[in-house]
Amino acid sequence: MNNLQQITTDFSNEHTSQKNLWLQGIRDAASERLKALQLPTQKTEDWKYLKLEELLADEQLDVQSMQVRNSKSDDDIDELLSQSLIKDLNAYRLVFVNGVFVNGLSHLDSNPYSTLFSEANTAQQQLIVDHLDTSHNYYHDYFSSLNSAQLEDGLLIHIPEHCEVDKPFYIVNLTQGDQPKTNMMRLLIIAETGSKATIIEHEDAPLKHTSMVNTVIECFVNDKAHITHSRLQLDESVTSICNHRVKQGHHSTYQQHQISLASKLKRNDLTVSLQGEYASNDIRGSFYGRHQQTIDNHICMQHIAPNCSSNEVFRGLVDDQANAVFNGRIHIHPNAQKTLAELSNKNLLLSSTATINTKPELEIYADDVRCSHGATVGQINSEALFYLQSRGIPRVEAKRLLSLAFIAEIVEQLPHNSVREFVTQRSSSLLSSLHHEGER
Amino acid sequence: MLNVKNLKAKIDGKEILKGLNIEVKPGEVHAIMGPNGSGKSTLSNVLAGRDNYDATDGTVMFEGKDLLTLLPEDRAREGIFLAFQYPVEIPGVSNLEFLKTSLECLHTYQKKPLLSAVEFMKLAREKCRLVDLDTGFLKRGVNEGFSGGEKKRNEIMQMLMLEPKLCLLDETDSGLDIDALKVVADGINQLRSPDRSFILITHYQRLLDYVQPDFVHVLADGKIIKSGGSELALELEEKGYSWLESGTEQSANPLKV
Amino acid sequence: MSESNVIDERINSSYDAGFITDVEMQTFDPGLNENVIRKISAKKNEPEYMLEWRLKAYKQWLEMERPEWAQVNYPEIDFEAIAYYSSPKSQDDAPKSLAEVDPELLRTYEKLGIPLHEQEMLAGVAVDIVFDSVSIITTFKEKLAESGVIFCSLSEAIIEHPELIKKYLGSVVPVKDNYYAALNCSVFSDGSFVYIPKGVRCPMELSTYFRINEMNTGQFERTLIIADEGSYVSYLEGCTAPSRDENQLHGAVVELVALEGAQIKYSTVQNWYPGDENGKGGIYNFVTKRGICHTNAKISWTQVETGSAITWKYPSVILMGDNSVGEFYSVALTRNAQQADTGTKMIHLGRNTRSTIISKGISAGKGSNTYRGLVNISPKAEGARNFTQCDSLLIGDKCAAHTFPYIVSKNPSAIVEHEATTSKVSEDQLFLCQQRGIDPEKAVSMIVNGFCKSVFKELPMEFAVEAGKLLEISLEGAVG
Repeated sequence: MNNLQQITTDFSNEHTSQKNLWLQGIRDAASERLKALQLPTQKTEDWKYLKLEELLADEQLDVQSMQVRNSKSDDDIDELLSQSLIKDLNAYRLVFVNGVFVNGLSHLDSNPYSTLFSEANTAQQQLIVDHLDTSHNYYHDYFSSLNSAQLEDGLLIHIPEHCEVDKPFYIVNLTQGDQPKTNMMRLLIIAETGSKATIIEHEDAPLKHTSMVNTVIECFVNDKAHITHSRLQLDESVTSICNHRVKQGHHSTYQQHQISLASKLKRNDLTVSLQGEYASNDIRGSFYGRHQQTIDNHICMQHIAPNCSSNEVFRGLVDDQANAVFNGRIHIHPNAQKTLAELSNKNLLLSSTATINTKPELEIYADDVRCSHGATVGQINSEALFYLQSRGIPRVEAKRLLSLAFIAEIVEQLPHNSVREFVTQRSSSLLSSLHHEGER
Repeated sequence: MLNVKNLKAKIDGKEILKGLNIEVKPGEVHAIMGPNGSGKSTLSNVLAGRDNYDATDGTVMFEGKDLLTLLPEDRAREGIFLAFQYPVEIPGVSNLEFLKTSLECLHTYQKKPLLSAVEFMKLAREKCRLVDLDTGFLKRGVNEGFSGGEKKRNEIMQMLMLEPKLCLLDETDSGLDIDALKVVADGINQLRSPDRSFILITHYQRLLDYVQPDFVHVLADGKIIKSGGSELALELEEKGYSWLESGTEQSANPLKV
Repeated sequence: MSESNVIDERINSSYDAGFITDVEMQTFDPGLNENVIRKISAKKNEPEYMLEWRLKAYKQWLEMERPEWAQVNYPEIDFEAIAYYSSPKSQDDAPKSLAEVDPELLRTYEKLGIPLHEQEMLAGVAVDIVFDSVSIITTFKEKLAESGVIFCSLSEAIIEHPELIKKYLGSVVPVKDNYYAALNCSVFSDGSFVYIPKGVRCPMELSTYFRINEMNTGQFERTLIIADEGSYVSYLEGCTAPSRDENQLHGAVVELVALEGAQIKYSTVQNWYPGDENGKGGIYNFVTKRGICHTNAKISWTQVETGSAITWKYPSVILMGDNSVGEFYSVALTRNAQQADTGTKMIHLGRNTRSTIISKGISAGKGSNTYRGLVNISPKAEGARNFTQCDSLLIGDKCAAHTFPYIVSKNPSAIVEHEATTSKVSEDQLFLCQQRGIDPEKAVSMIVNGFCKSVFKELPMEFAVEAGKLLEISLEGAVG
């Protein structure tokens, strides 16, 4: 029997955490849900491009207990790890290593907005319990249920009403150490009415250590709140499944930038529900897959209230034997008149053994709406390539430049100079290893 | 020809026209000027019969008929033509097809003989030339991909084709360069005749340099607050609208000229 | 008058082809088993090879599951309640010429606007007439034979041209391809067969007219078109059925083979009975259509779908040969409670293969319209190109429009482009037309025709006008 199924059957008996008993209700409900759920197979439309059992065969999906770090080498490793962080970023820095909060690497002073679940006061505990797992289709999701069932800790960011946070939150999740293990990450963002904040998430594995991360992010952007949320997934060695739900109130805005490097498996599920009128969002992402990596992006835009607008722009680069999936769904509910929704997904296939599956979907139940989507798959423009070559730029370098230009539209939108520079530098060095054949 | 008495109209429950009076006799050219938000476009839309523009009080008589009870298409067939401020695009429906259908509907209603395909084409080409539109435009979708100026010239071209009795031009001059403005003015002047009338709705005086109006009215806050001859337009150009405004009720929006 | 009033007012439909022909029929009892299949085969004096093929297909069908992935809802079909064979008695001694055909049948087709007397027919169009389960007559056979073109009923071809049938029947759509195709393989009763010899440009348009008449009867016809090297054929099918309260099943299979350098243009004007405004009755149209293109060959599917309660149909092209071209042009209109889940599959296998997909979906009333398509670029399809454009037009606020394009690319030199938009007939457009004296009814049909123009221009000239009119008639009942 696959160890994954094993968990589902006897999970609730053995692995129930004794920590933070006030979360027991959440854990129990999730355990109950899990009994009816199974690991998705290719027969499930949303998972049809992944051989999930194969990809996760070596992973340990249950957490025995919080990972204990080897105290002897902590300082050395911390020093090493700190070098992988974005420099010159004036931010509220919150660093986790293998899912454990590391004080020494974080800047917690004068950050009144965030707390670990384990350190939450009574009011915060209530807030957490009131919000966790309240997004609509959590119920059917295997991995987020698994996350909730094993929930021991998490990070709460709570922006009070009409508060404009002075500097960004910089949340770093690092993987370090070599034994296979699963980290459950949980992030809860609550932006109260009229508040404003920027959140930068950075996932990395500077020592190329492997692990599996099962992340759940819930983001409540209340009325007239404005959230900018950047997610840098730069951990190529980490298998990652991320469920990310956003709920938007009226006149709120939500901007997301996602920069993703593929890994053995990287699955991103993002669902945004526009629940209040005149809410708008702008979701931009770029992904890059190489070697035998897999990346699977599922974006679902739920237009529930009228007069909202959404815009999604995704760029994909797929090289070597990598397999990339993009599924972008726009769902206009019957009441959501005067909706404006757009989606664009463009991809460059860089090698003859890579695969891209793209499926932009429209599901429309209201007539007075303007929706459009577009998807393209192509290769680097040979004329542009030749133009650069004719100016003396080597072919490989020219390909690198053009690939960078292809995702520039996304990278340029990142908040803060230092973040943009960091990402540009990382992508640039990655792309210099571009596949050498693939075009005629 | 047209007699508007105490016309009040609402959009989405908000009263925009608040008792408007105007009389247009055959052959006359009236200019209606006024600041943004004064109700100029509302007037043209109410006269043409657009949905959601509800006349709540007053009467509009057109050649002895109660205009407000007629369907928009019947108003058009009676001879009212509205040159739209923002002409809409209808992809895939060619101008030719559109105009032919329109002309046939009008002629059938007016019990005029229908044009043969050859006569129609000849007429359409001729009118295109008059407004400086390439005849290739006839084959393209209605306003599809047209520039702002082309759309306005297309409106005038349609006006020339349909030969209406009363022409309502809703800010046809806005956004036009001087050459296009002349084309529009030429189109209007060409149609001027003792039995045809015009209402030019405009924000600026400059169209009136080329089309001499018989009367100029100032519309503010849903009423005509001043009427005069063409000299009034020059005065407005010079002084703006605010000198007139002081005597009337306070408007919600600051007035811009 | 407000736009929605206009729409509501016109939602009451009229279906012109809804009458019933009163001729004496012989119809099998409902139900399906091996015996029924033997009886169908015997009825048609089929050679043994055909019966074996059917029985094998039946066994496979029994093991298959009904597909449920489409965006359509309908009660489970009781395959035991359907009669699998029905033909006019007068067909027992197959008529050799039009003079021998039952005049009542001829009148049926006249009423449908398809006069069969050769002198009255549309110039240059040969017609095969399929009434319930059998082909009644094929016109212009002799004239076509002069250029070597074979155009006859499939039953006749099974007997007269076994070598072609054995080689090509089931070669494009394998028996096990899908549930409804397998069912068709076991019980198909008739259909059209076309063979165009090497280098021949078929001298006239070919067409098949399908009519379902008898109650509780399923129509399972098959069409097989083989265009030999360098040949050309344009083929059109039309379909109608009486207005009945019961749903009827139509499970056709169409196979096209375009050999090297050949071109097949296949057009469909589908006007099966769509059911009434409450969704009662109508045809369930579950059809598998697929063509295979050899080197330099080209297949174009053009379809105008205004009928059926449910449409489940994905005319596809396997672009096997280098430089081959596949095209799909579709207009699908759903109104009342109609549901359509339709689209295409373009499978690029050869080098420099090209495909174009233009799909126009119009939803009105409570109609649901889904485009579902697949563009698959295999690793060997160097330089392949696809362009897809899917536009939806929504009329009224109770309808739905969906777009599910699947794009898979495994070759870096291929370029795939997909665009989709959705729009409505806007109040501004209607008002502009009204202001120019055009009534809303005429305005909407003009706007919808404009929306569909890029597809209509792909239909053979003789039928483009007809398709426009058909859409107009359908709209008359459906929208404003």
